[in-house]
Amino acid sequence: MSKIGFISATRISVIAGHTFTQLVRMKVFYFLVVFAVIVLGSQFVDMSTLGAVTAVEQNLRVMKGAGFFAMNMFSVILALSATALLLPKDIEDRTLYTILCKPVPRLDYLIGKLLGVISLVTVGLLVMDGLFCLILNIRVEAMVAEQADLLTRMGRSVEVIETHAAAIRDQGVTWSLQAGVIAVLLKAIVVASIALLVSTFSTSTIFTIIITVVVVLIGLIQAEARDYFLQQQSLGMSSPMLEMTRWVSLLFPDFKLLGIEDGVINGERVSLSLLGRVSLAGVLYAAIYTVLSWFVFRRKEL
Amino acid sequence: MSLALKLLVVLAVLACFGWLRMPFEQRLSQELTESHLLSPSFDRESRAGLSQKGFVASFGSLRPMLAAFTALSTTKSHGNSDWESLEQALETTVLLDPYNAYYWDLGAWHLAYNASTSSLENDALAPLQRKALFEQYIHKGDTLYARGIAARPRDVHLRLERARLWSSRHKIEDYPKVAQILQTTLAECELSSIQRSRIRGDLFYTLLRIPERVNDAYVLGRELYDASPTNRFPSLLNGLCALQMHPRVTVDKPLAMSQLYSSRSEALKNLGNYLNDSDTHKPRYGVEGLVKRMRSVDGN
Amino acid sequence: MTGKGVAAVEIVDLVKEYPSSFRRKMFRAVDEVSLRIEPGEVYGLIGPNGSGKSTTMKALLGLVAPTSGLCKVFGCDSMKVDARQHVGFLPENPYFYKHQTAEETLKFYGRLCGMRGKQLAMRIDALIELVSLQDARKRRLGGYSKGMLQRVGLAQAMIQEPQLLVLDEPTAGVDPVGSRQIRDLIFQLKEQGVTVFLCSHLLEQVQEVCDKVGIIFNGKMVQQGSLSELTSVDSHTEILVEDMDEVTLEKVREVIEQGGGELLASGAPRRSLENLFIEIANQCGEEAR
Repeated sequence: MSKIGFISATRISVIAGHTFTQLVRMKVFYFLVVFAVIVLGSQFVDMSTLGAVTAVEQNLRVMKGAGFFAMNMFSVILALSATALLLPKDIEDRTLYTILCKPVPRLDYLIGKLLGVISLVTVGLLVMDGLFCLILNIRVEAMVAEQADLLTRMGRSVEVIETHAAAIRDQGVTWSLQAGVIAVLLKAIVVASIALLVSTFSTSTIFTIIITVVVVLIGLIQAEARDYFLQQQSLGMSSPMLEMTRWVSLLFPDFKLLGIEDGVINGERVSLSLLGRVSLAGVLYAAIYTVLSWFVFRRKEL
Repeated sequence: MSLALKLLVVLAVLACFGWLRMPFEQRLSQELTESHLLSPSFDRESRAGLSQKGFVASFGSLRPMLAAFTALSTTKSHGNSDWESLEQALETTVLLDPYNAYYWDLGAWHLAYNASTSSLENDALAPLQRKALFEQYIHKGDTLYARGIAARPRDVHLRLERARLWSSRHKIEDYPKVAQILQTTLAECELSSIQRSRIRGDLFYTLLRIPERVNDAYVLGRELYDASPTNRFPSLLNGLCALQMHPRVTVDKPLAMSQLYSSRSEALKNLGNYLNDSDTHKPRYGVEGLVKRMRSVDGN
Repeated sequence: MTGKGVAAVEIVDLVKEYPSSFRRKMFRAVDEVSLRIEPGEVYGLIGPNGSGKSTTMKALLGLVAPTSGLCKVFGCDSMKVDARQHVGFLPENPYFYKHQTAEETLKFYGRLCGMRGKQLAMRIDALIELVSLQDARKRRLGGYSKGMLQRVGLAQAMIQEPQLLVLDEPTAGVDPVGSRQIRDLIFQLKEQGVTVFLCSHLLEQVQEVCDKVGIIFNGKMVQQGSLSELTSVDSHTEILVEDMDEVTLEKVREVIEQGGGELLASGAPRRSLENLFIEIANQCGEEAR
């Protein structure tokens, strides 16, 4: 009998492709319609109280905020619910038996399921990003034309008009905007991997969802716990509260680190180095949760 | 291995991983905050003030969205002249999105202009109270500008708006403060050549109005004059002309009238406008005499 | 390793315990069960509900870890993934992904076994024909009947041409015609040298196809051996004759009694209800054509 490899890209891709198809046929992509409505609706928000260029840019920020909020919401909900559903469903329906009775290591199965969900979220995000960038760009160019017209009538020079146009376009579609989308994807990946870990020992989909949401919420304040702990530690302090913050900062992921889209919304630039390190953090989180999932699942009684 | 034991192992591994990643995350978090890609964390007081909003605000670009909605509520407060609610809403807004210059600008505008004017015109208050509130709101607006500049040091607009506040005739004129703001802007901000030229022009007009700094105003004015013909607006030329006659101004090579104005009639017109300007801070020493002499020559 | 002398299935003193609800004492689902199936044999494991049949199968397939004892498939530890290369499994009441068609399901499982391209396509065509699902191959499994799902299950179990087929209640929910087809298929596989390990409640079917049988009660193997050893009644002899009149029958009775025996019963034998059903079904099928 020939040896089956510990991990096989082919098997993983088969399971990932199958998971992707399964989720697509559950018609999950209909949410994109809702997303399109949100993004289209956001362009009608008008915050030009002051009637200056800065107010024009603020409208774009609001539009970007709405777009990113919708992308975050949909990708995280999709990642969480899809992952939380898959494993219990396979166990309940006993489809897991027929898969694991083939020469499929459990690690391949888990990675395949996770990658299937990630593929789905990635495709969804690509579509959302494409739609969002298209509508944002149309809005930006309309604003540039409007401002150019206004400034020309005010007798401003070409240089002034071009400076204003550049300031508006800086709030539009930029490479940093795509870095924000990558951050959204990373968040969804980490959420999916946490859900995968929880589902390996959880008894139901609801339990998995609740625990994952709790982990994510605590992860949002993890950075503050860490800062507080390090600050107090450097002062030589100790207290039960400090111990608690230590454990929070050790055990829970720092979700704030993956939230760079807030800065992107304000038009801040993201350097490749920063993006690389943020991505590394996200990938490491996903990797450790996946390995731990395998550790719990490898001898699970089915 | 029982499930309980497995979960203990999971927690132990997570704790080790947490310990290993802590320094990396700390550094990265700091760098991201300094780059304004992450908003600063809430301190305990702020988080308590925000309650549930603060808890979920960190996730999924909710902070900018929440800030936008809170900012919208200031419109209603403005309409009702409910300045206390407006201030609270503004504080929440800038807490949620501190790196958005728009909110600092909006807040300062509401307090320094709308709230101050509303207080001054409030018949329900005694005159002294009105004046006190008027000044109080102007200072509050200025504080918001200052905080906004601290949060967004590269933002030029906030600095210029702050300078505009202290140069407004309807508020509290403080030209030395305006000059300091403009000089700091020139020193600290990355400016295009047009911006730099414009701000230097504004600085000239400001220094012109500070009796102790008229010499500095002349030096700057001459630099602007020599730099480019496009800078030679009538107000610059009038200012230079007035400064050349000022006793405190040291002039090596004064500009001739023919260099300042293209014709006598133009000179008369511009200097006449300069004299008729209600702004009493502009130096007028010698200008009235000059205009009279020019008119008498013409009259003959 | 599938060389000579290596059993297809070897289970030695298998014990499987589960913690009970209040964790006070362990529940022993399988209690020192041992069995050995040689390559090419058809082995039937029978017992009432909850006797430990499915648990034994799951241990063999690596789905549960034995508390003690060992399970080997062609000499390889059942907990290793390698052991499943040449094993096909049909679970009881199989449930597959509703969103897939029969063709997609077989393709999915085939690819998991490392098959691809033309080889896989041809195998899928052959299996679909074998289980008579040609008309429904492109229909999603969500619309299949229980019997159809059972046939898809059988097809996926055979996708990689396994040397060992493990069938848990293979004819559950299947009509008599389908049931007969499955039985014939098992005979066919046996001729091809495939080892079959099955569980069933339908004892008559087990009796028809199996070479060896194990009887399990309350987790213990109470009896096992070849079918002929287990079911023969040594003291009785059966003779089936055609066209015998009453006079000849009387003479036979006298001969038997002279030899010291006793004629226990005589009369026209009954055909089974199943045979009658199949006869009628075939007749109706021909009339329809």
